[in-house]
Amino acid sequence: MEAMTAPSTEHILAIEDAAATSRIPIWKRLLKDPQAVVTAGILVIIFLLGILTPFLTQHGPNDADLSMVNAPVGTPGYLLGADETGRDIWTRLLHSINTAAISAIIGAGVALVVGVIAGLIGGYFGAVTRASTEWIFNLVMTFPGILLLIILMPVTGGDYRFTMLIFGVLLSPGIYRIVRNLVVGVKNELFVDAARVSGLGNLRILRRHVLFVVRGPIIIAAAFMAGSAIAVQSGLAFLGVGSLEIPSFGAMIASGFRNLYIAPTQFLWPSLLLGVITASLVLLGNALRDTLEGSKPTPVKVGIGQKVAPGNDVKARDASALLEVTDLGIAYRGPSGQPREVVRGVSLSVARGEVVGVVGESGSGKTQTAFATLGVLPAEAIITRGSILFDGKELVGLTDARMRPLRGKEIAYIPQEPMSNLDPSYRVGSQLVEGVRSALGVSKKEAKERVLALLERCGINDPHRTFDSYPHQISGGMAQRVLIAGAVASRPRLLIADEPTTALDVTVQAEILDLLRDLQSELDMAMLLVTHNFGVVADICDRIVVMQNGAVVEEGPAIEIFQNPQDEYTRMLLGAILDESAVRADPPAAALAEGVLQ
Amino acid sequence: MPVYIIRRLGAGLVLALLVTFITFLLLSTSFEDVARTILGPSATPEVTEALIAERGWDRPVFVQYVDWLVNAAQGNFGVSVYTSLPVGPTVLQRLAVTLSVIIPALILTVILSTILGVWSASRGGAVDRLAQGISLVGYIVPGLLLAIGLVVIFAVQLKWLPATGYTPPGEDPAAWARSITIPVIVLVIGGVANMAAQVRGRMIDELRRDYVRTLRTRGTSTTSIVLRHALRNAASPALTVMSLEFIGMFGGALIIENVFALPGYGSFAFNASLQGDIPVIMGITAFGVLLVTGVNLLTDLANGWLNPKARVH
Amino acid sequence: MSTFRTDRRARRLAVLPAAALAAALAITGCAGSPSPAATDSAAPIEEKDLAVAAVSAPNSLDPAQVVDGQQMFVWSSILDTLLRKSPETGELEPGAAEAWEYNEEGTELTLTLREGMTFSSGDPVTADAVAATLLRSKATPGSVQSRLAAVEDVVATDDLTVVITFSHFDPQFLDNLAQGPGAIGDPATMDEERTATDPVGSGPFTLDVAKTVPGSSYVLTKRDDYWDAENVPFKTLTVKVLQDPTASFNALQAGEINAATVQSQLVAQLNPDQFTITPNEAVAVAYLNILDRGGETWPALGDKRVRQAINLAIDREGVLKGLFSDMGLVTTQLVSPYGAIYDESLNETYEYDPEAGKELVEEAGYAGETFKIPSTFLSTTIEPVLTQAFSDIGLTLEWVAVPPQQAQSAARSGEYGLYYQILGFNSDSADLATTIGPAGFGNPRAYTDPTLDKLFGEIDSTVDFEAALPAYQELNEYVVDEAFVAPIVYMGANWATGDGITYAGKANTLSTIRLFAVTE
Repeated sequence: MEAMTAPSTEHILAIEDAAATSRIPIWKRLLKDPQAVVTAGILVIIFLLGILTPFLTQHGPNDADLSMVNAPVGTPGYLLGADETGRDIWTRLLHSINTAAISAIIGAGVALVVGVIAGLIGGYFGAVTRASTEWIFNLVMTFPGILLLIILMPVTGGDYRFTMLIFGVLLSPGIYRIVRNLVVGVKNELFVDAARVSGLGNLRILRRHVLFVVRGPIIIAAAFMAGSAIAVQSGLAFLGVGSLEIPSFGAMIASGFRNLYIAPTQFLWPSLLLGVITASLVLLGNALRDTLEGSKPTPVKVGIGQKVAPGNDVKARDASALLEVTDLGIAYRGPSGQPREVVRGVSLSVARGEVVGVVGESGSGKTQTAFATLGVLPAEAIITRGSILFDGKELVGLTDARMRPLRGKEIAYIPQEPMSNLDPSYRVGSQLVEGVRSALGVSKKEAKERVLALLERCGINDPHRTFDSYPHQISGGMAQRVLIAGAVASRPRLLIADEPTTALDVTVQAEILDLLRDLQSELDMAMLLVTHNFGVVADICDRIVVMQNGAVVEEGPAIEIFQNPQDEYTRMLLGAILDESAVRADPPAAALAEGVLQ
Repeated sequence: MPVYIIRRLGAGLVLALLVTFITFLLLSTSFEDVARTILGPSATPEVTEALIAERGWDRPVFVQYVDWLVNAAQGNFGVSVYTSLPVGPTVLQRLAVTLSVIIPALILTVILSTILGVWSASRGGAVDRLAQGISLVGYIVPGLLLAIGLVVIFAVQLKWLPATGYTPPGEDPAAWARSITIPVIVLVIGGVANMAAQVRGRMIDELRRDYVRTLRTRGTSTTSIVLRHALRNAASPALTVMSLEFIGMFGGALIIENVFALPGYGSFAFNASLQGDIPVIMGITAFGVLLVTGVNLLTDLANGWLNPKARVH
Repeated sequence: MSTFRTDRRARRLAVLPAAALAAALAITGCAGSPSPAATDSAAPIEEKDLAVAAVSAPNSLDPAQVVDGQQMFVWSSILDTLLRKSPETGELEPGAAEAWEYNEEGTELTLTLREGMTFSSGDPVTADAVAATLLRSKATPGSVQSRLAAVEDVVATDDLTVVITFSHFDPQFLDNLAQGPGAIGDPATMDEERTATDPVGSGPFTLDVAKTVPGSSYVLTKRDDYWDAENVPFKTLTVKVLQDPTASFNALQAGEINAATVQSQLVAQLNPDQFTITPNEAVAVAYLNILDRGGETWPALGDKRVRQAINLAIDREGVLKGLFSDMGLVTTQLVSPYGAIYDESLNETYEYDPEAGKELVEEAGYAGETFKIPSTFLSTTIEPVLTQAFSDIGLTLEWVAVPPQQAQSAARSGEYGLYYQILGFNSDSADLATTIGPAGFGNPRAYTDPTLDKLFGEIDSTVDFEAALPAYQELNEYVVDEAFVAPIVYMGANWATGDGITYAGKANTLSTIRLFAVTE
């Protein structure tokens, strides 16, 4: 169902950006991310110091000078002082970096090798293989990690590399999960089938196609696992498990801790460096995730209202219509930085009780215009200019709080994709009741009665059952009826329907349109019907506005547009209906096209 | 539902069986070391052998394991080879101590992470940067340093809180609260740093979902959108993180228990491991596996409650 | 700022031959040693609550399984011992047995028990109980068993007389009776399960099971019907297990305990009005044990010159100052400096001189040899120093991590020629025997030579310690000269005590409540 949905402007912008950036190698993209640069920089510097240890130190990590015991910071030859046995702290810190690096490489490396191989096997091959790998990894996960490492001391001989090897195995279920899930997803995709058909062996398919897809999440997981490996090695060394000859942060912290009251800085250095390394790894992991999997948007204040560019002095054309949009401009500040205008001076008006269709392809700005009217433009959007008058009231620049009384009550909205527009965690009924109550301020009981009546009116056979269902328990068509019921519950004066039928099955599409038409006339609502499909607007709209690239290209009564389209683009859109029916024999389009042609 | 729970617990038991067997196998190499440690440095090899024979440690490993299993199935986990304390009751007693620290720590972690995560995800801007900064500090500041700082201020100087030791809540609830305050704070700082970031991320995702927009178009209040709808949907993945955090806290508690001399599960397990106290290690392993199984089961059940799609029928 | 304890109030029990002592006690009718309270101040001392930090938790409290060391605080307070040792001088003192006497060959020991002693159950402590305990410990595999190896039989000849017969004279036996082997169990309950965790004893305290968390803290309540109750100035005894020195210091400062050892550097941080600091310069000896003295596997170690070189390579002063904060004494000997065998002049034998050591190694032709040595939790801090010392004389030390549960086995495994050891003092008769004697655990290869044979032969056949002393002294000198081991320092300890409690341990530091006194 998701696949059928026409992409929104935000999606398109994101895809364009991704396409633009995906041509740039990952490392170049990472270089643009300050978090990645700073954390990776810190790690590179730290680990470089580790590698350069022999050139930066005058002492061995275990060279003890009894005259230097607990030497203070800045003692000549002992930059950071000496520890409880007279060993140079600076030297030991550098050696500890190497210990941490080796721990991270072994721990994360083993986890990767074991997890990836098992994940590939478990995800790619049949159910029996998957069940057994699954079972084994559940087993591994249950082992009490640190405890096991301590119990195994006699086996490992206290060598931290051996310990990290085992810890790597303990970490591997995480990787296994990621890889298996990705492989299961990728496995059924076309290119793997194609590869199989073309006779590539399983191994080659795994290597060529699957590994390529799963590399991103693995890189991210590796950063986090390196962090845990270092933390666990330090923890064990702190507890005194393992060889005491190996300089490590844990051993240094333990020694500093014993000496805490005598020379507190001995504790501070290794703790801070360890903290910086693990925090850097975590932050780097987050940055990698943003770069490889698409960045997480920075949060914005919920309910802050739509952003309006300063200096907007557009005056409304006419205050008599129910909705009067004048010279509306909306821009997006995409991930690449520069604002791009997606709606460029759109003007349209909807009279009381009138049905206006806004038609255009994806990216034409029609949905953005609708969102702006509802006051729910995403945070990245900014209204650059224009006026939206609703019943004589200026909506541009209204805060969310002042917009709220209008929403639901005066202006209602029917979304495109019914499933994703219902909160999956609440029963259908309670969501609608909440909406009705916040719009109308009625009692719970009254709201419920009203909702049940509406559900029935919207063509739901067993309203009580639907009322008590969770969204995932009802069909898409049913969900759209629910959303329509939710929208019209408060008898709004303007109903904005954004591609209300696109995501639905053919037969359902017609039913929903019928319902909308009936409701519209019953309640005498004005309606703004946003769609990419001329077929949908054909027999419901009084007037049609055609949009392309964020601007209105043609506008007029429905009959006129259909019979005598002026603009090239309008003609192309009308032609598309015919093409669709002819070439793809797409039933809904075909059915509606027939309607158009009648 | 009951069938599901029984099946899950059954799987847990099978797992416990396997894990304990492997553990026993690994431990079986050290019977002689244990005997020597019990007898002290001056014991002769003959005496050592006599002790091994007396305890039955010279029997085949599998026979010994089955023996242990049969007893364990009857609730008898044997006694510690060093202290002769009964393993079962002692493990439970120690577990109670650790849980009485971890559970308050977890609850506080969840509350604070939720507040911090929701706050930063729904406010953005400076608030978000502040919350992120707090998380980062939590990552970098060593828990031990914090612990000692708190001890010096609140235990040594002000004498408001104890520096070491533990009072069971049943004995004196106020003293119990004081005895766990600093350990809980230390665990919470580390936990919040990790979990707040998770909650924040989930909340950002949720707040951008379609249904949130639809709710807004219906005039739903911001508070309801954030707390009733987005948070509830964010809670389900956060719950998984929480269960991992809970199991992870047992590791963190080990170090805390050592520093604060708390008679907890972690330090008990640690000392037993160091001494090679076989019956104790076996008991700890068995309880540990069951605990992890139980936590995972509870997580799944809670997940079902939060997320209707994941509900088990 | 630290208050050095004066010896004025120390128990001044005259050291009398056992029989004479028994007679004297019979005349005066006074059971037990005069109490510090009675001799020093007229006003009765208020009983205190003693809370002491211990590094390790006691294991079993079963008389056959008890271990000495700090674990003794708990069990020795519940179980009475037959003999005691003076904290000040280390001399044996009467305990549950008010008199003891050997036959001439040292193969028969007669113990006379005090009258009127009871177990906490109310049952009387009889010779039968003592005999039963000793015979049980001898038959039970456990930590006490091996120290009863020479015992042939134990017989109660009357209610208060126990006769122990030996296969041969055991010079250490009497000292052992002040430790684990001397513990008296209650025959009525000894074979019950509770013995390991909550035994019935005749000691000064009973375990408060409700308040005790095994492995963590032990709370004991004084028995007012204990025979020596007037010398136990503590209402309760709490033993807190604090493995971490920082935790212990915090607990002390926070007032959760009122007796603990404190690192020297930290002493200054304690409030002098609140705490009394009592240093003891020698509570244990830290030494590098040379296990392969015969050079069976490592010929280099069989060469006296190499062993001497090792002794020359160690900067004892530096170690003492650096690693032990000058708390202790440098030494080349194993015996207690408070004892009769110790000879201070011997400490000059191996002045720090790595150059000379290097020459000795080269002369012996062993330059470049590598030795593996177990790395245990005891050796943590000194490892780098010893590594350095060896490399200074052209030898290499390779530390091999050994898990704690294998520490005992490692020394005996034959895989190592060297072993770093810290050993608390036991008694003059025991300190050399454990490390040098052919049956000592510090001599796993049972190395001996004609001189050692001769000296130990003399010691083992001389029942009177004073008479054996010259042999002991000769032995000590021989050990130093042959460099069988490389002693490094006597480790000291600073005891910090508060709430009017003072620490009295000097020559004897067996962890019993008798180390503590109340002064105000």
